[in-house]
Amino acid sequence: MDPMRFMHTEIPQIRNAVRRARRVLRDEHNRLERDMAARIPDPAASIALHLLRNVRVLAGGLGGILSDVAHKAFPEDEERPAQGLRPMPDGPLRRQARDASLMCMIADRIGVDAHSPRLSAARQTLDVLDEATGQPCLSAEEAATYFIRLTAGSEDPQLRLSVFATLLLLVHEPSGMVPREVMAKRSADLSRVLKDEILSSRALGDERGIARILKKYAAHV
Amino acid sequence: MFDLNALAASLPPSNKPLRVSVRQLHWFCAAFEATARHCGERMGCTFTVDEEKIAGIFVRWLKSIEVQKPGARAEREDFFDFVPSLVLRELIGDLPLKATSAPTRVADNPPASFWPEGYVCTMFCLAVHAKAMDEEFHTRREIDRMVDDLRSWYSFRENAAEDTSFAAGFFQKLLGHDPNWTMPANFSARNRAAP
Repeated sequence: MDPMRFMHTEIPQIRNAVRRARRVLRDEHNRLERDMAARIPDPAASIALHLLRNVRVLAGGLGGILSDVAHKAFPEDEERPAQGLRPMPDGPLRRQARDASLMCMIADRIGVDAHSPRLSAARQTLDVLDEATGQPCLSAEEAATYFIRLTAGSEDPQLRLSVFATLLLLVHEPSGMVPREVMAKRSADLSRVLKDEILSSRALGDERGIARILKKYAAHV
Repeated sequence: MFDLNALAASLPPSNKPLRVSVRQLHWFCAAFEATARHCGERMGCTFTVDEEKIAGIFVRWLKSIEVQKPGARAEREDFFDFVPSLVLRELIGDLPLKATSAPTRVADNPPASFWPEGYVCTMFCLAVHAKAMDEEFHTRREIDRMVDDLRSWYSFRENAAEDTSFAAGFFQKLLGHDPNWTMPANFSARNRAAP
C-alpha cells in the first residue's frame, strides 16, 4: 500500500481534525483582527491590520498547499463520500449544528422553518458549500446556477429568498471582523429589500440577471 | 450640538476605509445603532432601531449614489461632501428609530428635545461625513450655528414632512453651503441658482 494513502476508515477522523485546525486558525485570526481595530489607536492599528492581512494572504497560500496534499492523500474520497461514515444520530447536538449553519440563521431571519423538508435539499447543498475551504467560495455566475437549481422545486418566495441570501454570502468576500450571525442577518435583510428584483429574475429563469444582482450586492452585505 | 469628534469616535471600527465600509449594510447598521446609543446616553433616553427599515434606506441610498455619481474625478470631493445629504433624505423619509421615552437631559439642547429621532439621524450623517472627509481629503467643515437653532429644526421637520428632499438641503446648509432648494437632492443641479 502507498504509505501516503490512508485507510478509508481513518479518513473522516483525519479530515475532521484538519477542518477543526483550520477553523481554529481562522477564528483566532478574525478575533485578533477585531481586537486590533478596537483597541489599538490609529495609525498603529492601520499598520498592524496591514501586517495581519499579509499573514492572511500567506495563510491562504498555505491552505492551498494543504488542499493539494489532501487531494493526494484522499484520492478516492470524492467518489465514495459516505462510505464508512455513520450519520450523526438525531439529537440536541445535531440540531445545534444545524441551527448554527448559515442557511438556518438566514431562514430564521426571513421567517422560514429551516428544518422543514422543503428546504432540506437546498440546506444540505449550501451547508456543504459553506464548509468549503477558502471564501468567497463561489463566483456570482456559479451562485446563480445554484440558485436556479436549488429553487426549482418550490415557488415559495421566502424559501427562494433564503437560498438567495445564503448564496449572496458565499459570493461575498468576508472581512474577518464581523461574526457570521451578523452577516447572516444583513444578507437576509438585503435580500428582503431586493425581493422584487430577485423573484422576478427567478420567475423568468434569468440566470444572468441573478448573477448580476449577486455580483452587485455581494460587496454591500 | 454634540461633540462631533466624540460622535465620529463612537462609530464602529473597520479594517476598511470608511468610504467602503459605509457602503456595507452590516457596518452601516452597526454605525447607526452606535450613534443612536451614543446620542441616547447624552439625551437621557433610549432608542429602538428598526433594522428592516435601515436595510431599505441603505439600498435606496446605494441606488441614488449609483444614479448620481459623477464621472469626473475633479468632482470627487464635492460628491463626498454631498452624499450624506442623500442618506439623511432617506433616513428622514422612513425614520428607522423611535425614542422609547421622552429625553431627560436635553434642557440645553432644544433641537434634540423637539425632535429626538430627526436629531439622531442628522448627527449620524454629520459623524459619517466628518470621518469620511477627514480620511479621504484631510478636511474638516465647520458646522453652521443653525444646528442649535430651534427655528431651523422646526422648519426642517415641517418641510421634510411634505418633501423629504428638503432634508438634503438642510444638511447642505449645516455644512455651510447654499443649496439649490428647487432640487436639493440632485448633485448635478447643486450649483444652479434657484429661479
